[in-house]
Amino acid sequence: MKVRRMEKRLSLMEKLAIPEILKGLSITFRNMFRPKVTRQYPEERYEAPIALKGQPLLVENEDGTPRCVACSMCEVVCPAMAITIKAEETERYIEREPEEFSIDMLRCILCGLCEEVCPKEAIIMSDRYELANFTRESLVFHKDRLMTPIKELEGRIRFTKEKFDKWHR
Amino acid sequence: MSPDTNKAETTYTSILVDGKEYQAPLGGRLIDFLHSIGKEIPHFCYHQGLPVAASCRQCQIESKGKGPRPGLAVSCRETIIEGMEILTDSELVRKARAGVMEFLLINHPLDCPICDKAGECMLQDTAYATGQDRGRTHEPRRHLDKRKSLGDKILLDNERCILCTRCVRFFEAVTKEPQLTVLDRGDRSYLSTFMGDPLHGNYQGNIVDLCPVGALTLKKFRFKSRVWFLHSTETVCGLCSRGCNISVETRDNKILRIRPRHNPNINDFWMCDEGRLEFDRYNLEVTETRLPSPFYRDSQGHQVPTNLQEALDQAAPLLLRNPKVLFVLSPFATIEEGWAFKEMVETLERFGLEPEMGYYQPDPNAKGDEFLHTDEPAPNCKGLREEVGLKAIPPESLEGQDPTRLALIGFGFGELLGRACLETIAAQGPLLHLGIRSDLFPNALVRLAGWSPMEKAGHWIAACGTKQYLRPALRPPALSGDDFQLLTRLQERILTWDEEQFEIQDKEELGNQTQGTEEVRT
Repeated sequence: MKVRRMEKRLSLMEKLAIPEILKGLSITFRNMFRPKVTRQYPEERYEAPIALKGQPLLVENEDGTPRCVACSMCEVVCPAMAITIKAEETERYIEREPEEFSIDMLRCILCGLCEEVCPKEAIIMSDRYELANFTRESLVFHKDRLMTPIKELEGRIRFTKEKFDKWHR
Repeated sequence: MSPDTNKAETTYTSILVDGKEYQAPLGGRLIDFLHSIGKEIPHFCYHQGLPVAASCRQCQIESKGKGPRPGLAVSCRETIIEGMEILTDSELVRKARAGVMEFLLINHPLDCPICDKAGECMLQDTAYATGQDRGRTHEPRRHLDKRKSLGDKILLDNERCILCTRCVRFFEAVTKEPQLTVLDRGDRSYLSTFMGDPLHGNYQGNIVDLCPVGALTLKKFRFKSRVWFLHSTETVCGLCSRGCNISVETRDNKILRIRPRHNPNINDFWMCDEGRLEFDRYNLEVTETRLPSPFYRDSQGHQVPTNLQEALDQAAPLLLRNPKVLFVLSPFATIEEGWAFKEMVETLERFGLEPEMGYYQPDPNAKGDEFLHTDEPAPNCKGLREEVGLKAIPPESLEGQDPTRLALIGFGFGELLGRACLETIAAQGPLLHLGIRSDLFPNALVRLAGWSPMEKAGHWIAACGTKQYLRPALRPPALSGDDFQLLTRLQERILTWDEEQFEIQDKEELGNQTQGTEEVRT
């Protein structure tokens, strides 16, 4: 087969090379004084916006009790079947709480349906996005790792309240 | 049972429902008829098996022209008369029902996420269908005792109660022994037992099924699972010869709850607490209490797990060597297993042996009650006696037997045999045991792993003579086998037993015992 090569014919200025190098360096120097768009990731952390759907967490009340009542709505709605719940009875006025609550983060697709369906605002998509580890077992999060004090999640709780209220109006 | 089904003859009359003409039984109950033609009439206090109270006012319909009287009427209280004209979905009816719902929900706690009834709650369903999605009251809700124990089986949540009085009427009309009542008046009324005593009797569990909301819950099922995860199988209860129709509700291969099904000829809508609560005997943990595979006892007396073929190889010479084996079939066995059992034993007779056989007839002194529970604590005695033609073996005749010539076939000996009798048999071990429990006969020569009645299909004959079909609700362990199949395989193994192999294995022990065998074989 006959191959046609399209080669650009260089002008005299280009053949000299030095003006071209200077042209290129001018771009480099110009960008040195512009604001940076990349960051030194592990040292400089990314501040996630409030709308980010990160690792789902369980809300812990001020008195250390879980907000979750183990109603299993998130277990039903979860499209990846990542959630497993076992309920138990408590002595509190709210008589039910999860004995076992685990989210398999290998399965979780961070869709946020569990947060939306929860009648108690007990499961909240946090801003934690670093979800990598070396073993499978370490990525099945149990109740002790999921329970987070309500103070850390207040912003997102307020955000979801406004969002869902707008939808359901 | 609705009153119109009891009548010998039913005359029909034409009535107008939503402008359409229907032939309705004259004198029948209107709400039953409306349900039968597919109209959904929401109701809480009305139940087909109970007397009418008409206290919830949810089943209202509009009557026009020639009716009871023009305007709103409660359809559970109306009987069908000639020339009736009613509307089930008019503007007036919808408004009335929504109003009733609003009143019912004023003090209802709305703790559906916690409530075990959620998903099968009539109040929840009706609130979605006819109610409003938000309340108009600002007053605090009424607070009552949320965890009141009514005896050892049932828990009462007074906040959730809507005072339909179904449970009150159940004890008044069905067991004829009133135990519950509504105390106080008006908006302060609440449900209570007399003097706060715990409930007693064998039929308390039915009020949990009757309760249209989650006020009465079973302690054994409390918080075990959400109801929509349960898988329900329609089968028959085996704890007495009544043969109550039940639906077995399972999750992850465990029975979590048993509820009665409607059968007007046998159990109506009800069942006893024994059948409802004692399902742990079916929920055995494999390798802890459940026999995972066949076992045989080796010459040192150790139990050795094995596969089915080897176990049958061990069992066949044992049966051929003992001229007088007493084969006892459990009354939990199905009719099909009865036939296979009979054929298997008759095969041995063809070898010139003299085996005896029969089914175990449980303690005749056991007493049932006047309502559902019969005197026989086993499901299929009648079927094995009359359909299969097996002889009854009462407990007395089993007690004096030499345990080493016993072969106990089927589920349920652990529960049916007396403690003393069990211990004497287990000390020396029966010759052959086919069952599901691993702790029962640790010294048996051969143990075959069978299936429980919740795992197999077959037929039982109830005390009233009805033949009923069993459906499998649970998955059995992998290395166990259907009792019917095990019995036929054993029969096959006896028939195809290789004489030569037999002799090489135990030449000295054979002795005179197999003389008869040779006669037949040659």
